[in-house]
Amino acid sequence: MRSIGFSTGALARDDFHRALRMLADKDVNAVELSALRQHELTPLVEQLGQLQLARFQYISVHAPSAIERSFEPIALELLSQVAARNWPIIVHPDAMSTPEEWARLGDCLCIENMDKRKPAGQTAKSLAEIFQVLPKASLCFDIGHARQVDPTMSEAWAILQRFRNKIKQLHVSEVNTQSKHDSISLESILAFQKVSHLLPADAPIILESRVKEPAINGEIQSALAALTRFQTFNERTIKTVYEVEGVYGLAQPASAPNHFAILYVGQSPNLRERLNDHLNNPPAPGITHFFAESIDNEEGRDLRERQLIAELKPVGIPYFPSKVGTFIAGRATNSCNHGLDDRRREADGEIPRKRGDTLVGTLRREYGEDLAEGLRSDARLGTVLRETDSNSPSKYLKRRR
Amino acid sequence: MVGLATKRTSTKLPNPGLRQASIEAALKREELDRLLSAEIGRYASEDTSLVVFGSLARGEWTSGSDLDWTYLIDGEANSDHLVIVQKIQRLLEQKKNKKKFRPPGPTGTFGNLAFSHDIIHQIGGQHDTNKNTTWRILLLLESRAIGKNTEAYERVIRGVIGRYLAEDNHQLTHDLQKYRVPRFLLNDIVRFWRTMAVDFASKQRDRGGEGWGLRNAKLRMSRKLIFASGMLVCFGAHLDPALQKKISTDNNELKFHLLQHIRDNVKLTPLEILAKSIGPYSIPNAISKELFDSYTKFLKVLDDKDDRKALENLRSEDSRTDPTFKRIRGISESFEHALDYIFFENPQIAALTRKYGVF
Repeated sequence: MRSIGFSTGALARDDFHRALRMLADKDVNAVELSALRQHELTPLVEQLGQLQLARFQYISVHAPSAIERSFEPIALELLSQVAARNWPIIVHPDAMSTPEEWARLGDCLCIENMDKRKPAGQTAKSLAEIFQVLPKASLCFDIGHARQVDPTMSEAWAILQRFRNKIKQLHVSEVNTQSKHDSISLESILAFQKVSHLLPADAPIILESRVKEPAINGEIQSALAALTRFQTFNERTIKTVYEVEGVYGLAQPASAPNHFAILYVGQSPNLRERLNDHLNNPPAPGITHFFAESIDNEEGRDLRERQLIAELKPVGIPYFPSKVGTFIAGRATNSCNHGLDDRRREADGEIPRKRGDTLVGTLRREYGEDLAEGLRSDARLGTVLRETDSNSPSKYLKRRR
Repeated sequence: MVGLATKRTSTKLPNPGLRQASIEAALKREELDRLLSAEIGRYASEDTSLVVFGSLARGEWTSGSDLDWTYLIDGEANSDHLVIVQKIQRLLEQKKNKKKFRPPGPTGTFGNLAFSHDIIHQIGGQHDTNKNTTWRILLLLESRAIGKNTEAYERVIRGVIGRYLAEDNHQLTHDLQKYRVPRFLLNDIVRFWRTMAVDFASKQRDRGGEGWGLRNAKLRMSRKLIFASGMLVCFGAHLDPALQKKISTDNNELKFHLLQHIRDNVKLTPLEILAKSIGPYSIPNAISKELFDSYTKFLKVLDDKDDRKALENLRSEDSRTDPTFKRIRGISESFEHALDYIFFENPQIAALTRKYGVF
C-alpha cells in the first residue's frame, strides 16, 4: 500500500498527541508531525522518543512556518535530532533566514513549494534558486499550493517537469483563497488530475485537509481519486491514446463520486493497440473507464506497473499465491537514504520480490541472458514457473544452478 | 531604477527610437508605482493587481499618452476594493499628477475595477460585452502589472489562455506532428480587431466627430499592431520548431506546453513580438526596416505636441487636406505595406493567414 496519512497540525492544532489518537484506528500508514508554530518545536522534539509511532511506515516532521532569527540556531539543533532519525523535515523556504546553515540537515531537508501569500518558493523558477543554495535538499510538493498559485496547473506542471525527481513527499489538500487548508473539493480533484501522472507513484501522501475525525477516511479516498486520471473506456477515447509504450489501468466507478475501483493494470509497447484489444476482449467484467501513462522504456514500465498494482490492488490481476510471495511495491522508505547498495527496500529492509507477471526480458537483465531459454522476452515469470513446475522464483533459480 | 528599465526593454527592438520609447515607458511605470506606494501604501495584494494598458504597457510612451489602468481582482469580492480604486482615482486626478499621467478616456473601460470571473468565463455569448472583450484581449496583448504584486495578474492571464485552449478540441494536426493554430484564441483576436474598427465608427457618431484624427491614426497603427502581434502569437504555435519538439502523447501536457508558449510570447510587447518574428520567418531587412521605421515615425508624431493637438482637433471632413494627417496616412501605408508582405507574401505565414485570417 502506498504511504498515506495526515499532518497532525491539520487534525489538531497545537496538539500532536490528540492528532495521533485520532489516527489510531484509521487506514493510514504515514504521519507528518507538525510543529507549525515555533513554540511547538521544542516539546515535539523532546517527546519524539516517547511517541507510539511503530505503525507508521513513513514519518516526517514539519518545521515551524516562521522562525525568529534568534531562534534559528536552536531550531536547527532540534531539527538535527530529527535528521538523526533519518526523517524528512519539511521546511518553508521563507522560514530560513540563513539557508546555507540548513544544509547541515543534508538530504533530510525537504523544501515545500509555497502558496500565493509567500515571497518565495511558489514557482519552478523560484524553487530552482533555492535548490541552487541547497542542492541536497528534496521537495515536498504541495499540490494544493501549486493549484492556488495557478489554477490552470501549468505552474504545477512546470515544477513537476523540473523537480519531479526531487520529490520526497506530497502535501494534498484544498487550499482556499485565504490560503487555508480545507477538505478536497471536486474543483481540486479535477485540477490535480491534470498533473497526477507526473507525481512519483511511491511518494508518501500527507493530507493537510482540516477535517473532523469521522471524515478522515473519506478524505483519504478523495486524495487518492484526485491523484489518478480516468477516461471513459470506448473506441473514441482510445483513439486519443497514442501508439506508444506505457502502462494503463482499467476501472469502474466506485460508490463515491469521482472515485474508481481498479479492475486491471497492465503495460504494453503499444497502448492504443492493447486498449483496443481489451475493449474487444475485456480482462475483467464491468470496465467503464481507463487511464494511460506513456513510459518509453521497459524498465520504467515494469516499475510503474508494479507500483500501480501495489497501490491500486486491481481485482483482475492474477497474483501468485502468498506462499510464493506477493510483490509489494511503491512503499516509500521511511529513511532519507536508500541503503548502502542503493537498491530500493521495503520498510522492513527487504528488497522487493518479483511478481508473477514480471517479463522474462526484465529478469534476464538481472539473472543472465540464458534465463528461461526457449521463451520469448515478453513471456511472464508466471509462465516460466508453471512450465518448470517451480513453486517460487527462488526455487526456479536454485534448480537452474 | 534607470538601469533596470533599460535592461528589461532595450534588447529586442531593432530601432533606437523604439528602444527609447520602451525605456521611457518602463521608467513611467516605475514612477507610477512609486507614486502609488508613497501615497496609498500597499495598493495591491496577492489577490489584486494594478494593471496598465495602452502605450504605457506596449512600451510606446509619448508625452501625450493616456494612463489606461484597471484594478484587477482575482479573489474574494470585498467592498474595500472600491475604496482602493477611488483612492487611486483621486490621486491620479490631482492636478500635479494629471500632468504626468493623463486620465483614461471617457468610455469607462479603464480607470475602475475588473473581476477575473467575467474575463475568464464570459468569452463569447451574450454576457461578453465590448468592455469585457477589451479587458481580456488587451490583458493578453498589451498589459503590464505595476509594482511587485503581480500574482493575480499572472493567474488571470494564465486562466484566460487556459480557457481558450480548453475549448479547442484538438491541439495537434491530424498527423500529430505539429500544434494547430489555437483557433478559439485567434478568432477572438480577429473579432477584437474588427470590434475596434466598428467601434471607431460608433465613437465618431457618439462624439460628433471629436477626436477623429487621433483615433484614426491609432487604428491605422497601434491597434493594427496589436492585431498583427496577436496573429503572430497564434501562428507561432504552429510554426515554432522548439514548441513542436515538445509534442507529447499526453493531452494535458500538450496544453501545458502550448499555454506556456503563448504566455512566454505575450510577455513581450507587440513590437517585440514582431521583432522576434523577423529572423525565424526570414523577413527581408527592407521589410523589417519599413515596418519599424514607420512605427518610429508614428510615435514621433504622437510625441510632438503640435502634431498631436492637430490630430486631436482633426475632423474627418478635413482629413484629405490636413498636412499632419497626410503624414500619418503615408506612415500608415508604409506600415501596412510591411505587414502585407509578412502576412501575405511570407511563405510560412501567408498560408496560415489564408487559412485562419479570413474564413
